[in-house]
Amino acid sequence: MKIYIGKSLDDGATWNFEEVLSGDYYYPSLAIDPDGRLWVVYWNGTLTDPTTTGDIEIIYSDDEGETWSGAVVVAAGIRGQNAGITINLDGKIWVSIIQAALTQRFYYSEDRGATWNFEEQVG
Amino acid sequence: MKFIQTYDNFEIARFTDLPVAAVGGLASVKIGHNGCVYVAYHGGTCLNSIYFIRLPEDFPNTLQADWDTPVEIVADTVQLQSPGLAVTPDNVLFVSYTEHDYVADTDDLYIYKSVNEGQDWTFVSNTQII
Repeated sequence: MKIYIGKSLDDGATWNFEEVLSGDYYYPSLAIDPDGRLWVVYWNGTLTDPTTTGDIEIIYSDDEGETWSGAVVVAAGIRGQNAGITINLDGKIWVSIIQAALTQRFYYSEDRGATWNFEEQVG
Repeated sequence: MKFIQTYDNFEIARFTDLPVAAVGGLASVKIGHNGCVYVAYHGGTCLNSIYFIRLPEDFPNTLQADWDTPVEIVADTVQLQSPGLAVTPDNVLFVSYTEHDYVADTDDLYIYKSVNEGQDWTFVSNTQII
């Protein structure tokens, strides 16, 4: 499934959507860090084959979505759903994902997404 | 639906049941520049409402603040999908969700806006996206 990013310059009244990724990408979630960097986390895998796993990946843009970084793997070998992202005021990035068995997993990065740490599994 | 709070990388975690949350629903969480935590989430038995709730800014200091009363932003007769939330540097709140048209196989993106910390919401736009 493709991932589109919508951008509005008039407080949401009108929108312009641009394709960011085209392939097996699902469950995108978006956040902006305190320095204005735009982050998108998603699950990269084959949704139609439930026997397979994929990766949680993250990309960013420093020019409001005009260009995007290469993907960094947050976690590999995950059958994921419903990725989420939240960024602390100090820039620490948190990513959550529901694994196939309905456990919630949490990951964080303290170096602007360069390296990722598994923190907790709940459920 | 449970909200998990932790200030020490899950050494201590507090679980809170979000009011009027729907089983199997989704939530979007953002932290405002004022330290408030904002959540937009699914409510209603058929995931047919979008709710907003705020955790006041003094929680990180007191660890005792309670959630504000949830606000129902919108209710519909059909399932609403993918609740999203964004907060601007001056704490204007935007909530989004999509509604799928199963006949046309298209999605409409709905945007609501609040300028008073989520107490009141106004409809902004409805755009067909795909």
